[in-house]
Amino acid sequence: MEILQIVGLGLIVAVFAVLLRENRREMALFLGLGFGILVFILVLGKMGAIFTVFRDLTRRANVDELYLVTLLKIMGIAYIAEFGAQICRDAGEGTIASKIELAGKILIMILALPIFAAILEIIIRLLP
Amino acid sequence: METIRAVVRSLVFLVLLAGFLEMLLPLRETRKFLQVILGLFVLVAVLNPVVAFFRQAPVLNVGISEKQDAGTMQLDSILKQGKALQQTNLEEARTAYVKRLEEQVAVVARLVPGVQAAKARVTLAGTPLQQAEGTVDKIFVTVQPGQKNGDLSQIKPVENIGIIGSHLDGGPQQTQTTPPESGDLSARVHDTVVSLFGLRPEQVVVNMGSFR
Repeated sequence: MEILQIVGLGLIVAVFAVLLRENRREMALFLGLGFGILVFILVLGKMGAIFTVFRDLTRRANVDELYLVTLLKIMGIAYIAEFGAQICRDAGEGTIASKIELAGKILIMILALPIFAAILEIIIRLLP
Repeated sequence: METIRAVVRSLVFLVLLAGFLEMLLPLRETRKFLQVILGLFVLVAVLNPVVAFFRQAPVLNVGISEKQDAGTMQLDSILKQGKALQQTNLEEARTAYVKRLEEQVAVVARLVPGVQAAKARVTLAGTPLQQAEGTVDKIFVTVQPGQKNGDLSQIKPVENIGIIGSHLDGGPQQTQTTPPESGDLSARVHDTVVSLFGLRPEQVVVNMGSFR
């Protein structure tokens, strides 16, 4: 039961972060960062099965796998950007957090450009 | 029907994929962006087969109208190749027919008593139509007189036994011996070939010769 381990570890880290935030604010920040990386590493091994199912569904749906890879990259960017922005907010740097989110959105849009291009091409084809 | 079934199946898998992907979306601000992109992805996947279906006929028409000259040239090339192939087949069939006829004539000539070996050469009529029909112009038969190996005629005939006794005429009976095959061999071969192959007499020429 990985979820119990993760939740237990999260509660312990949360308690320590609350205690540290009073005197050593920067240490509380590092603690939160380290916990996030640890959780990511723990669930990383489970992601392979999910990607295999996605790939199989994409093949059965006769969809180009490029689109699936693009979507997964976009999700990854979104998660990383949110993670970084939340850390910054916890540190009291809301401005930096919003900049990280802005950068994440722009990168997401760039990665979504092939899908937009495909939509445009379909519309042009459908028009007489 | 098969196309519709394939499209529906693809749509089902696509909906499943979109549902799973949506479960993975983050819960905060970027979720809206990702939902839009996921919607576009589904739209692309749904519209691609539709566009491909509707674009089939126009693409075919354009291809035919633009490449009409190329198609004509290709047709001419195919017709030329077909004629060349037909000519080659005709020549091969004619050669095989002549060879087979020569063998048949030679065998028939060898059946004539007194012929040890025979060869034949067949020439077809000159016009293409007659050649196509296999009309024979001339048959040249070369025969070698003699006795074939294993021929019964090689056995020396038994001498006639004269009846010793008195005859009314008083003289001994004439001995009947088989005359050798010294007749007009070429004439017999000629007649045989002409009659068996239904040719005019002037079409068959028989020569005497030796094959050794």
